Parts: sequence; structure tokens; C-alpha cells
Amino acid sequence: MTIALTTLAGTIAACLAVSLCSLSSAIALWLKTETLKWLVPNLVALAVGVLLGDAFIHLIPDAIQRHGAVSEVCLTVLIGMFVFFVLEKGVRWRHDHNVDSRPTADHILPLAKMNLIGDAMHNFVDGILIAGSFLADPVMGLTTTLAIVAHEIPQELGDVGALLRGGYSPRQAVLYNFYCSLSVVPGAIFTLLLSQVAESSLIVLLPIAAGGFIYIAASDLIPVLHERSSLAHLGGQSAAFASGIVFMQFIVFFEQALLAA
Amino acid sequence: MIFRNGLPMASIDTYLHIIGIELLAMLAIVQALIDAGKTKRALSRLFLTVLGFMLAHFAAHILPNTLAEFIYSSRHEYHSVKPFGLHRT
Repeated sequence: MTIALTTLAGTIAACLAVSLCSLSSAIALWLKTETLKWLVPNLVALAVGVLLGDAFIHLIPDAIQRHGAVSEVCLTVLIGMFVFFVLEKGVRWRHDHNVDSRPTADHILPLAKMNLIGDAMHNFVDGILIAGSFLADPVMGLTTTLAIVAHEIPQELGDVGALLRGGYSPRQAVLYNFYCSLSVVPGAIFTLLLSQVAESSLIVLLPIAAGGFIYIAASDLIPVLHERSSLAHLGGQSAAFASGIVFMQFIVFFEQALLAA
Repeated sequence: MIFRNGLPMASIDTYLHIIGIELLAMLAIVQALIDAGKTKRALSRLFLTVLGFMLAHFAAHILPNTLAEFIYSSRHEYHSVKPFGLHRT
């Protein structure tokens, strides 16, 4: 199969735009330590809302639409959660043997590493979606890219919040988050080279990414939110959590409007 | 400009410009965040290479095209010889 040069260039441009979005979290570097201290728990709450929203509103319905069988998609989501559980066990066994939830200077919490793995996988899937839609139609490629960029910005902010909570310095958090976001390019190249295999791999990759997100949000991030239990934290974190879900729902409306145009 | 479904479609040149600008933005931000000397030097070389390619493309294609468009549009007598779209040479 020959690929038009414009399709290739358009896909790469779209992928780089998505990666560039992850650098929007660099605004965290200009914030004062006190502001960051107040902001990080709220960003973690936002990450929980966005990750769960992305899994339940985007990834799982999309996988069901492609696959058709709800029970098989749900089973793959569970397999994804199991895979991430085993991965986290591996991370904990390899790097640390304690369950302390406070990071130190030379100790990064597993939640940060798991978040990086999950984000890299999510971006790989985004790359497959971008390239697949550019192969189908350049207009669809453009709308898919816009939808991905729109959900990427709050997600990257939340991810940086989780990485900061996991013990990374603000500079490291932004950089590592950016490196993970570059996995969108291999995902796109994989699709351009093997479009048939890539298209069918989405049936497995989408629910596994969803399972990973549910696992990270529920087992790593929500326990962090329960560390602070004042009324102010309850209000702020609940608002941030709800904002993440509402934002993801708005993205669905935005996608539908774009596709209808 | 080519239109499809009412939306303007980008040419390969436009896509390459977008890729170049995105690479420059990424390299500039990452360079500012990195401390290590060796990596920083490699990134600044890459930044200069991308910038060089973009400037060379500007000097070899965009500038002559803009000048030609200006000259052909400046006089009414030239209007009939100016074709529409890209590749007007």
C-alpha cells in the first residue's frame, strides 16, 4: 500500500502538536512553592476525574463500538487492570520494598512511575487513532487531532500533578511527561506501516489503556486524595474531580459537533 | 487553496512548515528545562539545523514565490499570464 506524502506529513504534524500540548504543563515551573503545594492535590483530583472520564466516556464506548461485544471489552478492561497491577508489583519489587506514601529526595513513589507507563500507552493509542483517521480522510484526521488535543491539555496538567506528588521535581515532571507523550509518534508510524494490524489492535489496546487508567486513578491517586480530610480540601478536590469528568463529557459533545460538521 | 468538504486542505509545504515550527518550539522548551551540558549542546545543534532548513526553504521557495506573485499582480497586463494555484512557474 502506498501512502500519500501529505498523509504522512499531516500525521507527523498532528502527532507533534499532541506532544507539544504536554509541554503546556510547564506553567507549573513558574508557580510559587506555596501555590504549587495548594495546587498539587487539586491537580491530582483533576487527574482522577480526567482518567476515569477518559476511560468510561471515551475509551470503553469506542472499544465497544469497534468490537460490538460488551462482555469481551469488559473482560479486556479487567485484563488491563490486572496487567497494571502486575506492573506496579514489579515496579515496587524492583525499586522499593516499602509502602510509604511520602516521597523523599531519592525515592519516587510507584504511583508516579505507573502514571508515566499509563500515559505512554495512552499516547501510543492516540498515535494509532490520529494516523488511522488521517489514512481514512484528512478532514477526519484534523477533527480527531483537535479532539485529542482538547482532552490532552487537562490530562497533562493532572499527570504533572500526580508526578509532583510522586516525588519528581517540577522540571523532571514536565520533562518526563513530555518524553512519554512522544510515544504518540511510534503509534502513528506503526499504523502507517501496518494499518490493518494497527486497526485491529485497537480492539485490544483501547480497553487495556482504559483498564490502566481505572487502576491508576482508583488504586494510586484516590488514596492520595484521602490523606487530607479538611472541609476546604473536600470542596476543592470534589470540584476538581467533577471538573475532570465534566470536561471529558464536553469533549464528547465537541467531537460529535465536529463529526456532524 | 484546495478545499474538501468545505474545509481548506493543507499542502505538503504547509505541513512541513507546521512540523518545523513544532520542532523548534519543542526543542526550545526542552533546552530551557535541561541542565546537562552535552544534551543541551546536541539539542541546540538540532535546533539550529531545523532553523537552517526552514530559512533555506524560505529563501529558496517562499521568497521567490512571494516576489513573483507581487510582480505579476502589480500590472494589469500580467494578469492573463498568472495561472491559479501552486506551481505557477
